[in-house]
Amino acid sequence: MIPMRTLSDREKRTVRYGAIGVAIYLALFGGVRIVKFLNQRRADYVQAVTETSLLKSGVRSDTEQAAIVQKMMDDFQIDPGTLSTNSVVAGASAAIQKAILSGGMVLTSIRESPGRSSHKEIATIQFQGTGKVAGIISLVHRLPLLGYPIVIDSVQITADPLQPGMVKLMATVFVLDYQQWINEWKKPEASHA
Amino acid sequence: MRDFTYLRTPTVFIDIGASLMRFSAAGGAVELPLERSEDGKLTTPCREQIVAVLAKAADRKSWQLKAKAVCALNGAGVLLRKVTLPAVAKEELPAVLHLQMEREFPLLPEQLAWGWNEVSSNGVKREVVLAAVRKETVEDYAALLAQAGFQPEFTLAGLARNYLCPAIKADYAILEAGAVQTELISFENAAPASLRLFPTKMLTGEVIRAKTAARILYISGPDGAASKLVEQLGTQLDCRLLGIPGGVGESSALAGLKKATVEKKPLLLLGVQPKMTKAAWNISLGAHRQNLTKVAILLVVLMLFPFAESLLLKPVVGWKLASFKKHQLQFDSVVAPELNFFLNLKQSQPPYLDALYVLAKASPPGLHISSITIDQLGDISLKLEVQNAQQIMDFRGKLIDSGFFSHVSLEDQTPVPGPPKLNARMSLRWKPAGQRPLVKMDPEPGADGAATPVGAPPKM
Repeated sequence: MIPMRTLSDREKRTVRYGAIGVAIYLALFGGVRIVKFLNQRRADYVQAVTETSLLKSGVRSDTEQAAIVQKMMDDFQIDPGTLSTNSVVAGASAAIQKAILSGGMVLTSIRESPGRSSHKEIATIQFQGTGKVAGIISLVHRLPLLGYPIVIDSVQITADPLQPGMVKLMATVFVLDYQQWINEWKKPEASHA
Repeated sequence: MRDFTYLRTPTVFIDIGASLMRFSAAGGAVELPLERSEDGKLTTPCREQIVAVLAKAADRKSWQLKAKAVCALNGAGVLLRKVTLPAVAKEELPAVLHLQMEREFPLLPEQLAWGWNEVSSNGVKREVVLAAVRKETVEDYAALLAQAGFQPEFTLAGLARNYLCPAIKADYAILEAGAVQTELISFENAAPASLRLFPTKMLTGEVIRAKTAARILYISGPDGAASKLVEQLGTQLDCRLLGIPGGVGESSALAGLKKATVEKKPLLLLGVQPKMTKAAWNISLGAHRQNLTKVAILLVVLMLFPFAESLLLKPVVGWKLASFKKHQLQFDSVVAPELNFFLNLKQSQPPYLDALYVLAKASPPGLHISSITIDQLGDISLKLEVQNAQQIMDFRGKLIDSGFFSHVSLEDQTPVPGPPKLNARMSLRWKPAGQRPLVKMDPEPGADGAATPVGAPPKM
């Protein structure tokens, strides 16, 4: 083993300065990287907190909206979960006939035809009946509340010249297609996602 | 509040004489001979011995606070003055005392360890007693005792002895007879007036009379010596013996210090006062190193806190965010479309009943509606039979006044041959939602078959 030469003071100073320079370089280089890393984590954290805060306030309004939905379900007596496409028209037609008969009216005719899909309608139902004015008014009032998404398109009320005190009702209603509505609602979200 | 007495150590008492140091603590008493060099300072071996003995005697645990050591200094090098000051505010008193010190003593106040006690005060003047000793003397003892684990306070032995004397109105003096040196302190009106030291071998009645005007002399000293002096001087002066418990580590000064401490009497403490000019702005690094370190640590913690928060709380916030997103997804897939569907369903419902109600309310008696056709867009077609044209005009006017319709027009009006009767056709259109007034239905007719109320459907 070769013994190391004793360094002069000048050489020692040079080595010391070099070591200090390297240490400073490493500290700065590492420090910048650490600061960048910490800043990035901090920015991510702040963004997450902001997003959480926004979603939290959104949850509050969601709760209010859910309450509104519940109230509307109660008002219209509609449970969207039961609005299957296959049975909704039959159910609506049966409900209309039942409402006509229960109001003391006589159902003259009823006709179902396919609805306009562009208007998200599943079917159009036309019916005619005869009855007293009060019964007809009551029917017009009850039609949207039969438990099906029924919208009255047109109503024609005519006096019956053969039966005094009786009037004829000819109405056209359409049944909304809930499934189509939901699908169209979800489409923009899916494309957005 | 919790009592932290276990952290504290009991106060100890030290009597520092010219050649002897007496130490008294709850655990016992020690007497240490003092060896001084030519300049009067303690020699290094003596200091080491004192530190070792006192540290052992203190018996302080490393986690306990330093014990307070109340020290009584003998009268060597002590300057005592009674001065009268103008009555000044409390805040100004240090400055006034400082000036008085400069005037009364041969050394600057910064070179002295000094203290003061108030003797009397009225609205105009204040009498105080100033006591001072060279700063180096006190600092030397303070460093020594700090090394031994004490937190020292210094007063004068002569003043400590005074606490043993009964309160009397006459002037008196206290004489402490040492083996080599005797200390005589005089009191006028119960306030210290002068302090003298002289060799014990010169102690005679004449010498005492020359040094004090007091006629009552309290004498204390080592066992036997004090009694002998009382006998010796009793013929010339009114000598009284200061009774103190005898034994190792006992002295009149220590007894006085203990009594003053127990009775919580104010001691004249000698302290090193900073220079007045520098008092407020001592910003040396050494003096505030600890505080500066704390501030620096606090700043570093403050700087790092946001980063630590982001590193530590990110998982928690992430979990919350995921939970909210899941909730949002559920809402968007279930509640939102339902809400939208119901809102649309509600808005799609035309106001048929409202329109019929407004028509019924506007129709005059005798009007006969043959046919009404209403569609979802709000177009209404009416076929009417009326008795005269005025009825149609009234009906139309009321419909317009209702504000419900944007368009009311008479399409056709034809007289019917035979009875006075007219056939008419009208077309109407209701205003869009939001522009038409809210229709408030009148109550249902009573069950008693009363007259048809306003708003009943027209006759068909």
